[in-house]
Amino acid sequence: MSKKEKPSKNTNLERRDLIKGLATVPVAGVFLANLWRKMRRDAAKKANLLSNLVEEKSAPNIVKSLTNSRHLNIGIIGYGGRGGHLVRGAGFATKGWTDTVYKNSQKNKLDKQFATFMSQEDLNCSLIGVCDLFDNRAEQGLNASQNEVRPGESLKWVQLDIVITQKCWLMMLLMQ
Amino acid sequence: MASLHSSIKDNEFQFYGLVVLRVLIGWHFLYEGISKLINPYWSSAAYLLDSKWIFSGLAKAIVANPTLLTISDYVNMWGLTLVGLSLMLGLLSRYGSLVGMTFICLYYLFAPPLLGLEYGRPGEGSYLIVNKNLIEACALWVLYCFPTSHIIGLDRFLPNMEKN
Repeated sequence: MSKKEKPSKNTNLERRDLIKGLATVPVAGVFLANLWRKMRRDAAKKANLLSNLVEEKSAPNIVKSLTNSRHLNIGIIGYGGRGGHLVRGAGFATKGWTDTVYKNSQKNKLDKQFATFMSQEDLNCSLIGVCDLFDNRAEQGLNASQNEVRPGESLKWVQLDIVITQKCWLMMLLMQ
Repeated sequence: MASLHSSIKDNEFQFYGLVVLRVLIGWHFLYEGISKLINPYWSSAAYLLDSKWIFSGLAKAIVANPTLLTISDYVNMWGLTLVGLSLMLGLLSRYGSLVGMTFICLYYLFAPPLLGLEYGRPGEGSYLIVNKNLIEACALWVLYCFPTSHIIGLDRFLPNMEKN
């Protein structure tokens, strides 16, 4: 009987030894599982952050022609009412704005907004960047940079290839 | 000193308290090490450049020498990871405690929160002389004095570990 019990005792002892010896191994497993989850989460967060921050435009950054080295590239921070007005002064207006003022001039011969815009001096500059808190404003800036209504304004035709969006703006503020 | 006093062995609260402390500190070390290993841009240079007090000259000398800086980076990354594994799994955990304590004491001495020392990096709390590094170093000293890995841990499978 005693001989029969001995292996049983040894087995219990070995099993107890094994359990106590490996007791903290599951903690390492929990650690690795959480580490894997965190790495995946961080990678996804990083990818989403970049995709939200920068909107890559498919159109290439092309300058059709440059007359001389005095050409000026301009960008605007804030394409709201004042920003839109300033950029219009430099010769860039959205398609919507030029269409509206054109129609107004057709209806009312005294309305000279379209004529004034069309007769503005060519300032030899290109609108190449817009930064705005609101995405739709940034899109308007992009639209203004691509509007070719004014004759002889090939110089200004430069497409925006990156629009800095609201989140990017907030990040810039945070960084400051 | 090497083995636990029988009163601690018999008192489960004290014994498992020590085991939990060992595993938690091991977790902390392991993640500190692995997070540095998986970050290709991590370097100890920023910490060393912000060093104050008696080791600031040594820290600047390490940063100025690319070889020393690389050694410092690798020692930190792999040292923390191995100490973390040692404490968590209970494998040679007395040596792990000792090495971990050395690491933490060095971190403390390179940037101690003493009066009049201002650091460029943002701190995670408010400290005066005593900070979390010092407390963790003391906790590792306790783990060194009261080893538990020969009872709960892989050291149980190693021969003569109780004597070490």
